[in-house]
Amino acid sequence: MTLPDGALLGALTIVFTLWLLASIPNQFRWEWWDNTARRDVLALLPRWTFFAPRPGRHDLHILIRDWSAGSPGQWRELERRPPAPWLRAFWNPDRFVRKTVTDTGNALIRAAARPEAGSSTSIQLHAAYLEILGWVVAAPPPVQDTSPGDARQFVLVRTQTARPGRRLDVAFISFEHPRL
Amino acid sequence: MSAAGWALDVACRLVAIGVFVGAVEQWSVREQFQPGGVLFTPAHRMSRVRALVSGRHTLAVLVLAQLTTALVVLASGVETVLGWAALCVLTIAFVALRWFRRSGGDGAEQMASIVLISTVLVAPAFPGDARLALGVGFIAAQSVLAYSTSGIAKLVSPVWRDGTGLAGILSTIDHGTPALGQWLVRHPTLSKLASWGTIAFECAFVLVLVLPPPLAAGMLLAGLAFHAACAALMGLNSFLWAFPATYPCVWVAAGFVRGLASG
Repeated sequence: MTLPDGALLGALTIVFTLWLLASIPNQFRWEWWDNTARRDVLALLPRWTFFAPRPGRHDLHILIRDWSAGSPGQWRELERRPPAPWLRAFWNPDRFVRKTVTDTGNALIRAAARPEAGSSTSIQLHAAYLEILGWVVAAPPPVQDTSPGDARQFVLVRTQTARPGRRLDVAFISFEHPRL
Repeated sequence: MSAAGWALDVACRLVAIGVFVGAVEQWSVREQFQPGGVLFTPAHRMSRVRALVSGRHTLAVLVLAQLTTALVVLASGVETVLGWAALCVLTIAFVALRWFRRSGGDGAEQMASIVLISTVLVAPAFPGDARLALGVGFIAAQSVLAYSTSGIAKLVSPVWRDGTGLAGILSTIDHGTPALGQWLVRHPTLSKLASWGTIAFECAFVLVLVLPPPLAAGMLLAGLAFHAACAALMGLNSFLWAFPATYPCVWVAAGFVRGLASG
C-alpha cells in the first residue's frame, strides 16, 4: 500500500516547518505572541525554558482553617502526598496536583500584587481565587472536629527546605467564606 | 528497516513507556478529577466541546485507551499497520487527556506529544523514506531547540550563573532533594560548578549534530545521565522517557548533517 507521497510530503513539510517556526517565539514572553498562542488549546506549542530564567525556589502550600462562633481553629495543610524520595525517579503521581497548585497559587499571588488589586475585595472574583476556594471548601473538616465550622479561610505560604524550623512566608491571606 | 524508521520506532516505544506510567499515575490520583479535586474542571469553566465529551467515565476511557495502545506499540513497534493504528489511538487519547485535565502538564508531555503526533503524521507503517526523514528531522530539531533554549535561558539568569538558583531549586520538596539543596547552599562553589555544568551541557547540545560519532554518542550518554539525575533528585520521572526518546532521531539527523557536510 503506497500513500501519494508527493502531495503528502509537501503538506507535511509545510506543517512541520510552521510548527517549528511557531515554537521559536513561544520561548519568549512576548505579549503579542502570547495572545496568539492562547488559541493553542491542545498545547502543541512547547515552552522549553525549564526552571529559567527565574527558577521557583520555594514550595507553595495551601493552609486552611475553620471559624466557629467567631473563633478561628488551627491552620492545617491541604492534603499533599509526595511519594517516597527513592520512588520518585519512576513514580510521581503527585506531580500533576503539585504543578496545578503551584501554578494556580502563583497566579493568585501575582494578581494580588498588581497595583490595581489594592485592598479591593475584587480579588475574590479572580479565576485563581475561585479555583483554590473550590478546593478549600471541598476539603473535609479535621478528624478531631465534630463541627465543620461556620466559615473557612485559606492562606498561601511559601517555604524553602523541609527543615522543621524553616521560615514560613505568608504570600496571600483569603477572606473568610461562610460554609453553606 | 531504514535508519529513520528505526529512530521513530525506538522513539515511540520509549514515549509509550512514559505515557503508560503517566496514565497509571493519573488513575492513582483519580479522586483529584472529581468535584472539589485539584484536577477537576467545573462545568462553567469548560468550553462547549469539552462539556460535551466530559463525563463520569472520561478519565477511565482515556487511561484505558492509553494503557492498551501503549502496550501494543511497545510490543509491535510503529512500522506495522497494527502498531501505527495503535499509535494513532494512543496519540488521540494522550492529547485528549491533557486537554481534559487542563492543568498540571509539563515539558515532558509536550515532547511526548511532539514525538507521537509527528510519527502519526509520517506514518512509518507505509513506504516513504523521505517522509520518515522529515519526521526524524522535526523531532531532532525540537530536541535541539529544547536544550538550547533551556541552556540560554539559564545562561542569562544571574541566579543560575552564581549557583544560588540550583541550590534553591534542590532545596524545595516539590522539585528537589532538600538535604542536597542545603548542602549545596553550604558549598556555593560546588553549586556554581554544577550550575555551569548544566548550562554548558544544554548550550552545547546542538553540537551533537556535527561532532564525530564517538563524541556525539558521549554527548547523548551525558544527556541520559542528566535526565536520570533529574528524575532521582528532582522527581522529573516523565522527562526520563520523553527526552531520551528523541535521541535516536537526533542520532540519525546527525548522520544526515555529517553526510551533507562531507558531500
